Amino acid sequence: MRSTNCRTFQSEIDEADLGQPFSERVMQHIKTCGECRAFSAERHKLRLLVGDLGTVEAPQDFDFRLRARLARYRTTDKGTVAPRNLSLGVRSVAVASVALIILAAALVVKNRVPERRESQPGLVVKTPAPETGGPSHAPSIVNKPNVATAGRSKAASNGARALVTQRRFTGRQPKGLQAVATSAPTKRGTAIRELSGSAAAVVKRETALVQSNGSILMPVDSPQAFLKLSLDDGRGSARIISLPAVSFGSQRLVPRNAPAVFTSGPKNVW
Amino acid sequence: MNTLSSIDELTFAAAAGLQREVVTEPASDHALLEATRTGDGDAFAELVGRYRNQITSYIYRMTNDYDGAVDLAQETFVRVFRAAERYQTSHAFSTYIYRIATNLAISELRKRKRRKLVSLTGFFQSPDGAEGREFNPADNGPLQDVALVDAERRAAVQRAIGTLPEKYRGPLILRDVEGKSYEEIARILDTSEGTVKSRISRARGFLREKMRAYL
Repeated sequence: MRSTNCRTFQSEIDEADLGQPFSERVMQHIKTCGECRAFSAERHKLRLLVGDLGTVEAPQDFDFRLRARLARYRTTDKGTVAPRNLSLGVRSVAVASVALIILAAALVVKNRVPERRESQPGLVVKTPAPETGGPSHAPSIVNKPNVATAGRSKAASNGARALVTQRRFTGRQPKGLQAVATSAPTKRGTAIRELSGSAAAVVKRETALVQSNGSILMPVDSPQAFLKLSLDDGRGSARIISLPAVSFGSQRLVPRNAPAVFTSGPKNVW
Repeated sequence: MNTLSSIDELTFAAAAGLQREVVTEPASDHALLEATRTGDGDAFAELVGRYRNQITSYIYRMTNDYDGAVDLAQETFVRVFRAAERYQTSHAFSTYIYRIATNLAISELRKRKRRKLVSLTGFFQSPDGAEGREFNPADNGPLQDVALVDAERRAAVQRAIGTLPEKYRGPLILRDVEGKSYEEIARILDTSEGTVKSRISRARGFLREKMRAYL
């Protein structure tokens, strides 16, 4: 078992550089201590053995292969963002992506939010320009060109065009007859307003007349009880709804600019 | 005039006959790396020429795999090249490149462990329980031809070093094979000199058991 002194001397022997002479006190100790003398000799041989391994040479084509490797690295590095600018480029792309997403979301939300309904009571009917003579003075349902037609048989046969509405499908069921009329065109096309309480359009008793402006007049005694309307949402989808004909009695509406024209029909025919 | 011209000619001839040796000191490692930063390929080639054998040999001693060592040595230089702009001259270049090589070698050794390569010679824990090492009994057979003996001895030493735990292997190779000082080894391994000395002592103790036949 080594003594503390021997351990110290052996550490000093172990840590010395190969070939470097030991200190005087170590030399003195080695002369007297067989164990440390053996340790010193053994360590010396071991270090010679390990040191004899020498340096292994790199292969002849080491430089060539290294150049090829560096060339590959440069080639791949050119096609990508440089590491120094990588973080900046990624950040810019991320910020731009977030901005685009926010913008897209805002557009989607804006398109989905239903338009405010106007508080005007009653039905807003856009009346065509008054024409001289004829029964055009009574307000008629506005027609929109190039829209699917619907309506009574006579009107259909005359190529009448039905009222075009663009209803925003809010999921609410219309209460009773909620004929809608076109309002002033907006950015997204023609808007729809459902109004109640307004004065109803007067339908003449005559057979359906197609006026020069394309509007049609519905006779009140039409055998067909339903008015069919084609609802086009302006996005390519349309549906046809049937509305019961409603009589509002003798109430008449005339255009503002048109002189009052009174017509009369057979008795008891409204 | 003729004399002058003749003297001049003599002087000229004498000067022409002389081969003046222009002695230039080799550029330092830092200077070469600085030139590499500016795109001087020759400077980097010079740097590679200085260290390729040392690094290849060191990694080979660590991993005991020559082809793998060549590949890792090249990877070392690639990393030096790529990090040239970030290199700081506060440390010696040799410390820097050896550190990269050490890290690559240790990573390779750990990859091998994860692959769980089983040695046919067995496996047992080291006395301090730190890491396992392969059991490699000393060869007590008779020695034969000198050349073969030398080759076998070196191979045996290399095998013995290959069985050391990785934390002892590096310091031993750097000290006894590469001849580095304790201070430099401590900088390479990013540890203290006392730790380096302790690990080297332990490594030699392990080797002594395996190399008894040659001691």
